[in-house]
Amino acid sequence: MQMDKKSSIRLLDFPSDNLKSLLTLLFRGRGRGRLLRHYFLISLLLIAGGLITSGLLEIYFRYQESKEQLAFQQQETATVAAIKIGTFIHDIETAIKAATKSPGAEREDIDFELRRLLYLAPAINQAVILSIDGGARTQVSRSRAVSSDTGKDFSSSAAFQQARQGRSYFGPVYFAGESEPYMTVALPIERYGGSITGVLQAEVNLKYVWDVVSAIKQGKAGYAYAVTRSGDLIAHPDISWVLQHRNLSQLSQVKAAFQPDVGVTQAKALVANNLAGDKVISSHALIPTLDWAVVIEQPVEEAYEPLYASMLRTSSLLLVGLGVALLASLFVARRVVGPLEVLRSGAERIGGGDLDFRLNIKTGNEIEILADEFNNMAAHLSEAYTGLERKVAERTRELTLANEKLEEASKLKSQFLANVNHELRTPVSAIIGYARLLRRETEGQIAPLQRENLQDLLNNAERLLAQIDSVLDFATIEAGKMEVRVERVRVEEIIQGAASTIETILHDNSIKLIREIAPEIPTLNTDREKLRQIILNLLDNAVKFTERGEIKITASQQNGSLKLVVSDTGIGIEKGDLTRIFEEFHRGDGSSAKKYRGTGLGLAIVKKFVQLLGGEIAVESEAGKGSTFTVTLPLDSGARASV
Amino acid sequence: MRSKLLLLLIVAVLSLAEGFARAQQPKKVPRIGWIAFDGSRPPADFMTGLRERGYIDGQSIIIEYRSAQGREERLAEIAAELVRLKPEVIVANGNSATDAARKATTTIPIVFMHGDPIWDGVAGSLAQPGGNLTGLSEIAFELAGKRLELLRDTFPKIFRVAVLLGADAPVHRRQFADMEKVAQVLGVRLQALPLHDSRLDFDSLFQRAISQRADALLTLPNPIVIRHRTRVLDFAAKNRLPAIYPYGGFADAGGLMSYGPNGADLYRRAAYYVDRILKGAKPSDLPVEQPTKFELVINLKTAKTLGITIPSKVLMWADRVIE
Repeated sequence: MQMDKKSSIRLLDFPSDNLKSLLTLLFRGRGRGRLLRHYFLISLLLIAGGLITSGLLEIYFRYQESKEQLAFQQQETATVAAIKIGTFIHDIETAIKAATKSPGAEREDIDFELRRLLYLAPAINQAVILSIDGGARTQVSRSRAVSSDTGKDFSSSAAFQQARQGRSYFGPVYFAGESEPYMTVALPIERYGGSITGVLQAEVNLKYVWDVVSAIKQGKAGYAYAVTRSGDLIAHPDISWVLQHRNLSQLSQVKAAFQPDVGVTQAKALVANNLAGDKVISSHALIPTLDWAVVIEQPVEEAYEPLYASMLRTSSLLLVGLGVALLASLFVARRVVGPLEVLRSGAERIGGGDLDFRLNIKTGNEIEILADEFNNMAAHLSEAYTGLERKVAERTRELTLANEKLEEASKLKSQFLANVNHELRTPVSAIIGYARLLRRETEGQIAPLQRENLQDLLNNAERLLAQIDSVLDFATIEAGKMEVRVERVRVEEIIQGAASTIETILHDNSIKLIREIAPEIPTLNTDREKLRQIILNLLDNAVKFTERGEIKITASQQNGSLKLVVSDTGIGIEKGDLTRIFEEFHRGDGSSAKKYRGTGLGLAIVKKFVQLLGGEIAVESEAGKGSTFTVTLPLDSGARASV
Repeated sequence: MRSKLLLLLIVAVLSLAEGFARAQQPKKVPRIGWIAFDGSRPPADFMTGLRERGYIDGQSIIIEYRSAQGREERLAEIAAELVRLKPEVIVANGNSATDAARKATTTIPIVFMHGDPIWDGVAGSLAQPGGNLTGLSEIAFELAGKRLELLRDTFPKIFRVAVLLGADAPVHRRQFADMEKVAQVLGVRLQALPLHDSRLDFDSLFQRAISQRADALLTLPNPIVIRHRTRVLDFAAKNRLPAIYPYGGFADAGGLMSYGPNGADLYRRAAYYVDRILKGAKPSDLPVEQPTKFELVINLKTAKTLGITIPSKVLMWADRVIE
């Protein structure tokens, strides 16, 4: 079969490369069958979920690593600073110790040793040699005259007392001249065999520690400072803090510095506020010999800068990854769902009747096979459809012919009926009219036999007219042109009228016509003429098939309906005929048809009229035992007629 | 077409250049006022201190140097002139310069180098100076006694020490009083040589020292004396008087010895204060520092000329020896 190029959908045409249309396809398509969207979302969920999870894990672990690394670095810096400060003080101690070991320390010109000590240790501002009883033997100072201090008693000072016992003394920080941080260091002057002959006490200007501390850097803005256990600041890069006697005991990092690190094996940095109230990351190290601590502080922003940069980088990569995931999801979804969508669309077109449409899917997998099967199916359908159309055309042609014949027949029937009306009824009416005129004109002038014959003539003519009317009535009913004219009708009046008509044709007194009309029957709303015809036909029918006995008509009201029963003691009806007696032109078996007059339309008309008035008719009969016809009619046929 | 492209290119380059120039336009260069009794430019150590902190004169800072050229009465005038220039900070070198500066402004931060800012009422306290002033104390009172002690350590036999001081400087009278206490302990007698700024009566003063048989000379820090130091040095040399001076400059010029705060350190620390103030610190938040480094300079040439031997224990302590 030649494929219609216009009607074929090619895989490459679908979905459109236009992003907008693709998005529309994804998110605004019909709720049903949006496989592309589902595949896209699932792929996106899987790929993006994986990426996001791995990205977040990466960020988390990098954060932890950075924190640990930072803590480690700070710890290292703090330790180095502590060592440097410890070394600085240790160097001073060593210089003092060296002075105490010098033979000059015992001689009279001991101030030579002190001057040398001050020369070697610039941080020592003042030094004094105390005798074993605590008296100042000699002292030197960089900044003031000390001659007047000779002999001054130092025996009660803590420095002397501790050094006197052979232990080095490192005093608390004090501020000289309001602003200069100082510390007293005292060492015993020992002689042979460990005997203590005096004490060398030095006042160390701790601003020199500032040189040590200022040289310590942590990143760009990180710094170190030294603090005593009581919180006094000894050294800080901003020396103003030191000179202002700032006490840092309230800072959490200072508190932490002097808390015993029991069981702490890993360096841990602390986030806290610094003296200026800024957030910093802090680590510390103790200088055990001095009971000082070095605290390292680095602004949080700077400390975490590499981490933030790394997080930004990871996030950017994650975003790029998500973008790629989005495209990949689209690609996968298109690859998987695209052919299916082509298949669906094609099936829809074929299902919609475009049997010439063919799918063009070249995926090389089951979907292509399925598409080929679809194409085969469409080809078969197309062939079958073409054969079917041919047959339908033939049958239609035959039906058209038959219809034309039927229309012709119907026309002939109508013509016949018109002819019957005109050609039969008119002459019969004329015969009846003339017969009546003759009877009236010849009243008393002709012999009884002639008169009787004339009467027979009249009777037969009237019956003929009645039969013609029956035929016309039935034809009218069949044509659906019979109308119901509703008016107020008293059933008793109709029954009495019909009975009177029937009584005229009863031959003798061998048949008795009984009327039982229930008094409570209300006035009916029905078609007077048709009700009269129903009763008349039923009575006429009963008279026809009854030789002797009685014919009984009863009327009663039952369940809001009028119930008419006409029974006779006539020949009855064979069981096999019971279902056919209401058929038109049915007249029992052939013998009875010849024996009894009539057209066979009486009961058929009754049934049609009963149905027209919205009622029902039933018959009970047994051959040789008479028949009973029961008619049930609504009291108001107008309600039905108006329906 | 090609000319149009060229035009476009030129416009683009010019726009870029303009943008670059605009971006490169320096923000307002801070001015540093310098007020001094004497001199012609800021000390080199101060400039070094500024350079160490990233300031280059004429580029990132402008230094407005104003000197009274040894005329104290001009200090108020040049202080007012500096204030009119609205510098970010004024550096006042010396007591009288500080006094003139603080009288000229109560708003512009002043960094001083002062003999004793507490005694003079320049600073409320060393830790919290208050007001618009902060700076460096030269602990003049303590050092006056220290110099006397050092002189006696060097020359144990001296008995009468002539002290050249400013007759108009109350701080010198206080320093002299403090030195008297030390002199008592040391067993020496002080002879005051009060120099009147207006008269500059060096000759009569020196004559008095000679007549009173002074064994040595001690000079208190005094800008007038610094300006006329040659006369003082000549007097000491002529009369073979051992002398001690407050600044290394005297020893460099031929004085026997000097002892005082390390000038280099002092001026560098002054640069530190300037830096802190330029970065937004308030002077009242910057404590006054005391000197930690001192300088003993001995001129052995002069000693030799005078026929004096400097004891080794003193010589050993010297930071600088001029030979």
